[in-house]
Amino acid sequence: MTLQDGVTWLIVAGAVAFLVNRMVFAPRRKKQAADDKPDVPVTALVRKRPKR
Amino acid sequence: MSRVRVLLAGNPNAGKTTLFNRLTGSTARVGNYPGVTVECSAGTLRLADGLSVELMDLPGTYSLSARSPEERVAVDALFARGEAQPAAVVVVVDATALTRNLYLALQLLETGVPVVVALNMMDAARKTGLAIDHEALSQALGAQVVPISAARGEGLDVLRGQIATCLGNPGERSAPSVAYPASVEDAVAVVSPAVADFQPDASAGSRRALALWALLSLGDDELVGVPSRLRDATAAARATALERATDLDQAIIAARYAWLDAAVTRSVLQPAKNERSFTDKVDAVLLHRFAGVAVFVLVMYVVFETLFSWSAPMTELIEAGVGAAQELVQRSLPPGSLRDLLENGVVAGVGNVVVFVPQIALLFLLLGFLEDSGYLARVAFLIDRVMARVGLHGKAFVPLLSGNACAIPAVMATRTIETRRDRIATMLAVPLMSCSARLPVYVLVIATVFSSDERVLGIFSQGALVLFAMYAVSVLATLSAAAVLRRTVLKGPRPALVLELPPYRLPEWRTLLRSTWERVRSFLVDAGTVILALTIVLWALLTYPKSDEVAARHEAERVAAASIADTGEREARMTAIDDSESGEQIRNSAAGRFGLALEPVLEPLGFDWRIGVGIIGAFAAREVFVGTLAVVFGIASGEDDPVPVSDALASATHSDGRKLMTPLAGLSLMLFFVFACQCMSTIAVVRRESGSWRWPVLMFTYMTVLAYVVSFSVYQLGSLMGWGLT
Repeated sequence: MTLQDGVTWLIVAGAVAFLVNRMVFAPRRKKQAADDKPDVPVTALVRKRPKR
Repeated sequence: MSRVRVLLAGNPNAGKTTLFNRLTGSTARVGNYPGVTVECSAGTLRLADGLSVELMDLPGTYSLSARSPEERVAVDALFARGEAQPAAVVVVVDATALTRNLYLALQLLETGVPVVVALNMMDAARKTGLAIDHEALSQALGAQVVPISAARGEGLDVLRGQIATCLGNPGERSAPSVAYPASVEDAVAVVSPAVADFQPDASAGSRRALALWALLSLGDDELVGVPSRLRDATAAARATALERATDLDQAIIAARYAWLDAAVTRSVLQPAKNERSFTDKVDAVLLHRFAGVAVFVLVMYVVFETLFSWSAPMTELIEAGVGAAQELVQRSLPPGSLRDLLENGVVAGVGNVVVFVPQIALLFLLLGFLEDSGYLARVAFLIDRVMARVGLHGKAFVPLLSGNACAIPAVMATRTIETRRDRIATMLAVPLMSCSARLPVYVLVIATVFSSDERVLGIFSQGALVLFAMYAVSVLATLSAAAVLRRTVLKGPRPALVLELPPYRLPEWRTLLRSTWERVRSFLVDAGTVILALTIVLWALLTYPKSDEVAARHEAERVAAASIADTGEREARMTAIDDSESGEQIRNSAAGRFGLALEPVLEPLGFDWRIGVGIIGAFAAREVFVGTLAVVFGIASGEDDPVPVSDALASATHSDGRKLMTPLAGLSLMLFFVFACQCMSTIAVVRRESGSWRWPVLMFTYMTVLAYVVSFSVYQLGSLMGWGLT
């Protein structure tokens, strides 16, 4: 395998890793973040009573 | 440490974005929210005393009912917790439509959040003779009211000062005392404990505001994360009200408007003159059932003409840039896999995305101009009757129109549609509109099998008629798909088009250019990265595995060819050897083998394995088809000049010697491209906009099945009847 071939495979592997991350892991992370915070934060609708 | 956050809220078309840009200058940025993808801009607002705060421009909303995505984003930001909690809200109010605009301000004031009211478009109000006592209005609302004109920059220093004063006096404000009927108070009493249980340390005012919000928002909603106890209490309160024949929505809204009417009456010193305005006069033509449609057709023609003719020089420039970059790679690197990848994968991949930018930028600029001027609201009104027949919302018209250029901005344009059901139906139908990426495929096939010289009825060229037919089929397919979707998986009532027809205004160029740039940037970053990675993977699939036997055989042929004395003949022989080797290697590649394996499935459509490889490539992006065919047929650099590919296609034969590209096979191929979902970026953007993989999977499946069935039927029926076989 030549140096060109090695770099080529690295780039291809990087592209595959990027796509897997983008399509599989990133949505999971987003979903987790969305689960932690409701779409409409009803709890947040309630403002804390101001301190006297 | 996080900065103090001030929100900018207001009705759509109240001049909110103009004010935002005036207040923040050039520091605006765009932030996406998880789950809901309506954009919010944020920028730095510098106040008089040197204090700088973060100003966030929320999507325009009429209320906080959280039924449309814009409202959900607004509610989310308004009532965020912790560091994201806003310190104050600036409500932009259109002075020329005071009562309706103040409804949102009243809802905000009821929650106890510190509010400053920016009374915008005072210049336009003055022109109509309208005089408002802003101090009286301020007293009625219990919040500072500042008269401004965002477009002219009037009153902005006073507004900055009032924001600073508001921030200097934190704490809950007393809400305006709206007199709700007893039925509403009873319902609030039922719902409030559910709020109190959930947040015991909430103030009474907040509990009341939340109870009212729940009564108006929960029920037929698409919200997630709402506590079931709050839902149950709301449902119980609604049920009790229904038993007493009381419509709670109507009672709450009517009480608020009664309060607003009284406050506005006290504050208006002189009402606007009831003259027939410029807008009314223009609307008499633009909303006319015949003249309006004629003007609309003319405007659309100008938009498309502009889109194609204005973008052409930029597109050519980018293509030349891509070509130059490919040459640079050729010059800089010795022949090998890396050079091939950079030239045909990376550079071509980025080029494929960048080439769309002029069209996307122009489309957003032109649509932004039409939208900001107030014309698109009229078009939605005009077209609503046709849309109603297929079950689509009137606002779906704009995305469908954009789909003729590119499905990606078209899918993004569905954000303006209120209900999720209508949004998804539009999103799933839009990719059937013939986007500009299909054009090279149509042109290639037409150039191969249909004569441009032959005239139909002595007037129309055969090629132009076939091209027109493809566009007509795509429009019919889009409307039919929408009709089927709305009657099956997306069944539901079609909401009436409630549309504000704003007065005509000259759009502000700075705002238009800024929003266009934000969208172009977002497209480049989001789609560009995905397309680039996909092109690299596709290149690898079309390149590997390589056959050593093929390489050695062609190398031997090259050695033999090197001894040819005549330079021209030698170079021609070398080119032929290169073409033959790439053709054989591609046959041996993973994608090539897949194409060969797929041949039995594609044969009934009139295609062979080579077209199959082109179709596989086109599933990443349609425009890859011509380039892939050029490689498959062993013709180098075919992408820029489709003629050689069409020559190769025209002379290609099946293994049994039959002609490959007959008029019937060409028609079948074009129809396959009309219906098939061959654009990874569209799938990615539908995934992003719908928030789920379910819809892009459904879209891909139904379009691919439809493409296969239509091509199969046309080719088989044509073959049976003996049409277009030679």
